Amino acid sequence: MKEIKPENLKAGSNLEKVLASGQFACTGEIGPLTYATFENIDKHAEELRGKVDSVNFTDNQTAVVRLSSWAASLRLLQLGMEPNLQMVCRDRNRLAMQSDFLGAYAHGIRNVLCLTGDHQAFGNHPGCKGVFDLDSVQLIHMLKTLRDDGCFECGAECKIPPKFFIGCAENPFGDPFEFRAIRLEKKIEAGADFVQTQCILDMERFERFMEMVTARGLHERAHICAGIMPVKSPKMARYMQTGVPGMIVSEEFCQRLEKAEDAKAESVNISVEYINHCREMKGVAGVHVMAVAWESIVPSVVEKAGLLPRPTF
Amino acid sequence: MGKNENIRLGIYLCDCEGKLVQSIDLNKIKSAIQSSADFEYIRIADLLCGKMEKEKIAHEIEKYSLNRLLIAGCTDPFIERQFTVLAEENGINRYEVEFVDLIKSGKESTKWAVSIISEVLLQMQERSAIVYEDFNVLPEVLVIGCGKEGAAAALAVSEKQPVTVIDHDSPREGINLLNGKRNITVKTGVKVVGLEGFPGQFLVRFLDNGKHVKQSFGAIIVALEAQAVFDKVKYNGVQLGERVLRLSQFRQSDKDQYAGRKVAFVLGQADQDSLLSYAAALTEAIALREKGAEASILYDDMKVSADQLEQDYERARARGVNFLKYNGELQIVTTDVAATVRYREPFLPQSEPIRLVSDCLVLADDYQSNAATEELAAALEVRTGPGGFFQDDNVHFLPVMSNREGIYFVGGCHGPIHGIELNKEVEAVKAEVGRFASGKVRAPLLQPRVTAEQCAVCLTCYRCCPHHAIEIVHDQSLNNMYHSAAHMNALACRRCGTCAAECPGKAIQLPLFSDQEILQQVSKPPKLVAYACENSGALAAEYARSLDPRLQENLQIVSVPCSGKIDALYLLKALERGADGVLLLVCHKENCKYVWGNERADKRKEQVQRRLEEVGLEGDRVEIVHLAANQGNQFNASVRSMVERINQLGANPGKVIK
Amino acid sequence: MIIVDNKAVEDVLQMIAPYKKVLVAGCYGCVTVCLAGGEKEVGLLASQIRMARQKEGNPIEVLEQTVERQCDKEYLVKFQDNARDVEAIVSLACGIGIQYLAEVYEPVPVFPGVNTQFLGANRDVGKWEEFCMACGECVLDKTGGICPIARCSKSLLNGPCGGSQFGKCEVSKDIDCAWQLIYDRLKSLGQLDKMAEYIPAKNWHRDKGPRKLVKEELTLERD
Repeated sequence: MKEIKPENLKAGSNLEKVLASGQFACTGEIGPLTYATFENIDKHAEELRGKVDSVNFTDNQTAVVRLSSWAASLRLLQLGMEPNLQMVCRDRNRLAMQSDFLGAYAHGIRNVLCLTGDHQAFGNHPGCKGVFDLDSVQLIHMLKTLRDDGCFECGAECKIPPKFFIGCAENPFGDPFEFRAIRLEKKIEAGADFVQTQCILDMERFERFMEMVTARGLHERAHICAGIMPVKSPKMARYMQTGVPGMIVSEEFCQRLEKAEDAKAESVNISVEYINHCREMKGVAGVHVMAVAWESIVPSVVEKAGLLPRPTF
Repeated sequence: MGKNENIRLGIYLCDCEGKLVQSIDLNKIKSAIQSSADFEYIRIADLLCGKMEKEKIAHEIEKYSLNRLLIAGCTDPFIERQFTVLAEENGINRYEVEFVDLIKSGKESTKWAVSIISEVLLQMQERSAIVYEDFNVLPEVLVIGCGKEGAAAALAVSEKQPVTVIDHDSPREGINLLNGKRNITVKTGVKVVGLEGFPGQFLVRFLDNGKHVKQSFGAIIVALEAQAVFDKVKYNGVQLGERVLRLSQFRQSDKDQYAGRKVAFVLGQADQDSLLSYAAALTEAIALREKGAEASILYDDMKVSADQLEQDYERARARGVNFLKYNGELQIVTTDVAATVRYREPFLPQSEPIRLVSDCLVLADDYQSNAATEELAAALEVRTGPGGFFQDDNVHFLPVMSNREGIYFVGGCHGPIHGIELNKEVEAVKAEVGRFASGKVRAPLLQPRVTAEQCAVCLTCYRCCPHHAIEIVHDQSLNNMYHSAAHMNALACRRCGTCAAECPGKAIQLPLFSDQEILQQVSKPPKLVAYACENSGALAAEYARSLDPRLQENLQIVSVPCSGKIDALYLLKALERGADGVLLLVCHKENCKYVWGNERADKRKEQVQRRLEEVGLEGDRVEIVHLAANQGNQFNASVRSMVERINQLGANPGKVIK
Repeated sequence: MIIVDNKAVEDVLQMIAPYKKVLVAGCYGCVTVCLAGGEKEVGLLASQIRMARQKEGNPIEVLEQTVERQCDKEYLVKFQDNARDVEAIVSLACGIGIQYLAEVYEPVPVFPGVNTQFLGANRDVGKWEEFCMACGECVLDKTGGICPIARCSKSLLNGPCGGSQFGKCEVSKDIDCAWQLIYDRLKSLGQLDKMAEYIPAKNWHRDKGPRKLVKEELTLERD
């Protein structure tokens, strides 16, 4: 464990401290619902309490209208846990984004994950105008400039700038594959402090990605967390293999779930194996466990992977 | 003298060596025409396509200054082609030659013949004089391929015109025949990579031993030979060797070595689609007999359905070639000293297999298109068809013709052919390119005209032209913002009118078939209007009328040169002006004389149906029928069912009667 | 070129329902080239309108005329005789021509007969693709001559999103991923380093409202 120098911290969030101290990070994720309630957030928050270092809240995931990411993040703060506010470029222009960041920071939110966002055509308002005023690289750049230079995107001064721990995503399973590490470098160059990858359901491809990443020394410039997804059923695995753009699900993964007597138990086993594998892999600083529609399984995955107890500061 | 003093008409009635049915009396026809029609010259001939006739007709054309010809007798496209070429050689344009087929199944009679000849004569008399123009053309001909077929074409053409022969990555078996010959230049290591321009003035881009060069030619003959391939699976995996040879190899060999030996040919296991192996085996067997060898031909089905093959077969029999028919599978066993085939006699199915022992067994090959075909087709922008050979599988296409004027196919490039067919093709192609020998071609200005003011230079016509006959010309005199307009090349255009029907600016009009001329015919249409392709629907209609004349009383037939000319507007206009239904009578699928006119017609029918439904009218008021010229019954059936449909739908509520 | 598509005739009929005499106005510019608003299409729409109204028992007179360009007033003048003679005009020009026609012939109502789609290229007969969004600040130098603003579903400027796979866009397999195309192009140009360059946030150029372009050196006005 490395010693943390408070003056080197950018935001001082729990997640930042875990990563800065060189400990293997573990984050979770909750998807807000499509109606005006904190019901599922309260429930899953209790399940995740003490099991993860921070919790991501998706931002109108799959372009479907949901309870807003910053409101959910605020709720988690009220429950005494640490949120990771996701923000996509699809729904807001740079004006709205910056204003949301000011508010979120004032409330005590410290982690932000910057994303492009699924195209609106996938969601429940397919005809809406996708904003995409900025792309994710530009969003990261804007947040960093705000934090480090105290300037809004327009160049004007921000007297009390929000100081976020800035995250980005990268998809090792997208194409052009050779460009994915370069793109990650662009994001790190723009200001990303940590990275959460798309969930890994093809370990071989992820390994090749990490080879390119470490060859460029990117793991020394940002904390890279591997995406882990416990998949609830073989059917779901097959769907993700064929129906989700930008995903690669290995045949081996699908078949293991299909052949297993207890698919759910096998899925937990695979997740644990993957976490252990990532821990050994050069350049991986932690894992982000996202159990879409199966949040309750996260504690047992984390426990079986030997990631408990979580560090405290 | 004729009504139109410019028209000097010659009429030829041919007896087809007595093949015309007894019920037609040419002398009676002659006197009937003489009493009623205006013409310059009339003659009855025994066999108009006979050898001596060519010179005789040429002489008559000159003597009587004929400028239009009507030829009545038996006709088929090949014969028509012969006469149009003959006419053009003597200064009469192909558009000025009409044919009347006197051998039609059904109602041949003298009276009938007089009536249809008179009808055509009337049309010919009334047609206004065509304007002609002389075009400068290059006599130089490019032959692509210097195998034996390319050599044959080059030798024939070089009698009148300079020829350049290139190998284009193909075997050079004919090169020895060409070296040192007058008018022939042979270039090897040269391939065609691109083509610009039009017949008479093609600019060909070559890769000449690695260097890009270009040269102009008047016409191009493609003669890439089909490639023989041997598939041993078809012969139960037999190994080739001294005792077992491929037919294509055997043809190259010296026959002297077989004197006094036994050779057997095996046909029917490969090359089922062509006559090439049959023709080759007959020729080789006869040659073997002349060298004192014993020759047997083992066949399942002797295919002799081509000129000369039947004679060759008889000749082979007379020379003592053994013909052995088999049925089913063959067994081939070879040893160092002999090759044996075991086969079953079809008439003795129960008996033991028969053993045919020979010194040498010759097995038929298969034929596939030359490997360079696809690339060359793309460079020349000509079409390929079944099996990857050049040319569409289309009954309207004569063997040597491509979808572009000025580019011709000879020999195996459009499918395996045997020597006699090759000779015919060489003659045909020689006649075609011979039009350019003098450096000038006279052509009628009948290609579509473009009104520059309405041309948006959108390239739609250019892209839709199946014959690559359109260029975009630029000239200050062209009165639109681009000072440019589409222009149809007179030598390349085949007058299908597809461009005119596709033009979104209505800038293109086809002479004799302008929008005005066509829409005039439906100014007050009857119940049913049928737009009919001249090559199918209109001819079927003619025949159908003889079967059931009353059916056409409430039907207006509007002839178009190709269904590609049937503008969506024509369909809507007919309905708007009062028709209750519209038919499109078009050629069978993949059998459009102009490549894809019928496919365009299909799409326009769909478009107009959509448009009718959009405004609450029944799309069913428009129907398309694919048929052939001889399908009079089909025509009548289609009309009946359309009439029935219209009666069910009731009167067209959208008709706007002024 | 401006690419337009025809409006449903039903909608056009609705627009002109109150009138007994209309002009269908075509344009020999882009809309002729994209096969939607030239003389031919004017004729087809006019026929449809006449038949539809006849069927309703409410006949209408439809005039047809096409001019060189509806985006220049000098050509719009050519409509004057017919425009004065009708109660309404249906224009088959792009949105530009329709507006200009309406401006010139006020108070004659002018209706759109087409939906203006995009700025695109003609791939083949009947096939068009969006190539440009007139963003006002061209980036093609950085992207190998392929526009990410028009051809990426999200107009991203710094590379493909995570949804790019097998060269296709996440939105549809019928859409090529513009960034894959850019990557391939830059690779073949030996300029892959351009992919690593950060392209900053864009000035979308509508910041001062509707755009105008005035080149003083060319205008006929004098100081």
